[in-house]
Amino acid sequence: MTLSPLFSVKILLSKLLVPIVSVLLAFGIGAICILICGANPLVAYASIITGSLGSVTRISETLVKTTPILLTGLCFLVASKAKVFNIGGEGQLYMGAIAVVVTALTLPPLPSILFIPILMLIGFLAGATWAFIPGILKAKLRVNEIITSVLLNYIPILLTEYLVLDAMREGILPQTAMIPSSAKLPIFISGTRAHAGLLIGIASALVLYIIFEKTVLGYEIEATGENAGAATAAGIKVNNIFLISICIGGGLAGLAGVGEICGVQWRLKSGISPGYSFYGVAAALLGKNHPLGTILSSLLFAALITGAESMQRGAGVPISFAYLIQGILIICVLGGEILTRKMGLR
Amino acid sequence: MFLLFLDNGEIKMASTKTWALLAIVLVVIIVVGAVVYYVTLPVEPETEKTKVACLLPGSINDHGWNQAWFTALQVAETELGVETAYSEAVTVADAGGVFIDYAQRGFDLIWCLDFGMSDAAIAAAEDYPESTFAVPWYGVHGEPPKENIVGYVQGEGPTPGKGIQDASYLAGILAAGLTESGIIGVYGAMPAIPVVAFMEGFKIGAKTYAEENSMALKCLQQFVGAWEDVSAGYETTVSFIDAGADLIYCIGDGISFGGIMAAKAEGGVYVIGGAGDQRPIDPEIIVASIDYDIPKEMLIMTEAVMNGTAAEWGSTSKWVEVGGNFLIDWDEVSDIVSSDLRTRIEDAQEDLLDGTIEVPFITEITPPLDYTP
Repeated sequence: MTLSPLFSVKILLSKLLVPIVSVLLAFGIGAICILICGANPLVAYASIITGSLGSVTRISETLVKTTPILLTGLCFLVASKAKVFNIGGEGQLYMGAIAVVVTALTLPPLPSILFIPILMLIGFLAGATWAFIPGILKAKLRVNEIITSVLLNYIPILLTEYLVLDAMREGILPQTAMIPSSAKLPIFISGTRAHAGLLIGIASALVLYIIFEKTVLGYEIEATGENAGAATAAGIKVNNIFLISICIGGGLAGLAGVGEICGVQWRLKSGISPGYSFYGVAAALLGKNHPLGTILSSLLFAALITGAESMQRGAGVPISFAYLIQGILIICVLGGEILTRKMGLR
Repeated sequence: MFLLFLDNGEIKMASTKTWALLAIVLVVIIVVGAVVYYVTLPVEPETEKTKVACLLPGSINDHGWNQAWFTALQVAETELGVETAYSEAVTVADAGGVFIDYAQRGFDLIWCLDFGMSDAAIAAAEDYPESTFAVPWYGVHGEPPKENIVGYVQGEGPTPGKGIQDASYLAGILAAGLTESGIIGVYGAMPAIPVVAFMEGFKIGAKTYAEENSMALKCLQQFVGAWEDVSAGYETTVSFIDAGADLIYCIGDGISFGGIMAAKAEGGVYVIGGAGDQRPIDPEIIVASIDYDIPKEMLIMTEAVMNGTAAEWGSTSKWVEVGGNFLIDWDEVSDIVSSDLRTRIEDAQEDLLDGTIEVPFITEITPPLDYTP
């Protein structure tokens, strides 16, 4: 177990100082880039802050984006604890979304208290099933899960295109019919888009925290990740652990799909995720692969995305520079990770 | 991770701790510099101008739909003195927040420029009645009138002779007149009604010319499935060229650009551009463009907002039409078009405008054209 001790200086450096310095450094380099493009970096960054946290609506928009980033971050995190690198969160998110829409439009409308848990279960299972494929290939045939999970992203995205353009299209636009009202997640800040999916994300992070802190399964996942050979010698069935960890992760990404459909879009259409799962990977890394740290880092990335739109509007910085800053942030985070290891802080 | 430095004339490497120290020092310098810079920043006064914003699905330099709207914003700024803003590459997932943001910042007219964002615009319009939202094709198919939602369309009914199908009809004649292989191709983003009408208009024009000249003609067709995917447009065009097509007509944003790139790379193939004058991209490849008069559309609606008459448009489901010169701009047509073909198209254009011929507005895609005299 490596999650709890927080009082040594080394751990403090590793867990807090390095990520904070990484983020600040990224913003510093980003400022130079913004200056080069002829804009004012302070206005740009002020736009990011006001655009993501400047009002109740902006905060709610940040929270809306936090949800899928957090859930897909947890998707990556849980598998990476076992040293399984699931980069297929995007496809698993879409599978969850597709399954939820098909179910919601097929079943007769049920009361929300029944309907939403059913849809969450369906979404979780759909994501987990899609993650099972790279998992079983890894466990049984030692096929590199990075490659298979990345390639499996494309199928659900293209399946979505097919469904909205043809099989499930409703009306003149490429989209399905709207799900029943009782399938919609409640909005928890009135007049905004902030929906209860965030609570699902936070609850998932807490459950994972408990799993890794208090359960045998959590111990076995971490032990497998630390040293699969030693774990096998200790009687842990590492293949099962590979499979379980990636499937739990896939299920969480499926829940992200549920959140996007039942909380934001209310129907299936192309482009419901602009690559949330890739932000999720970065969030898990920045969160030091800790479920609670991932909540904070997801919030940061969501604020950055929401704020980047405002930066474009408020400071006249081209959107490509917003992406550039996000990229610099990811590089600095990874650099901080390497530095941490080199300095022997973990 | 190491840093090189000199120690008594000898090159040595700094430890990772030095790197960490350097990073912290750099951060401190940046933070202090930022604070000093910020306190000396001049404050810009608030303006009372009418504010107009566009949510663009793609980039403002795509030589197509997005660039045309960016240009229209600039025209509105110059001619009407309004304050403008735009957001590029807005995704379906992000659109809701962007609409709300503009509405909260007091923008009077907010253009939704992608079908996929329509739901988000309509939802925002509900919560922000002070802002007017221009939504593509809203009201055309029976959507309930709303005070602050205005539909805008390209063609169909309201402007005979200037509809999307009419411009494509002329493009079809041009394509059939230019092809040497007897095979042409047309592709659009997805089977949304305007895209279908555009493709069908093209096929009708091509078939008309083929019948008049007793020539065999095939028209390949495809939906690419995306508006902005440059590589998808490229691949579709290559597949058309592999099937023998030597003239391609495409509508879309990035997909159109991809088609032009493929035609250039493959050689011996011409392109008819859409959604704005695309000839400057490559005048040797692009023989003509279907040019929307988007600035006119922008000016009509912005003036309505400034005069306080926008609500009338919304409450009656009237549509702002892409008016003006919606047909081929002859100043920008390639020299390879013969005078006979040019005359034929000019005649057709006149017939369209005076109502002598009427191109049907087809909303369901028909099989690919395969005409044998």
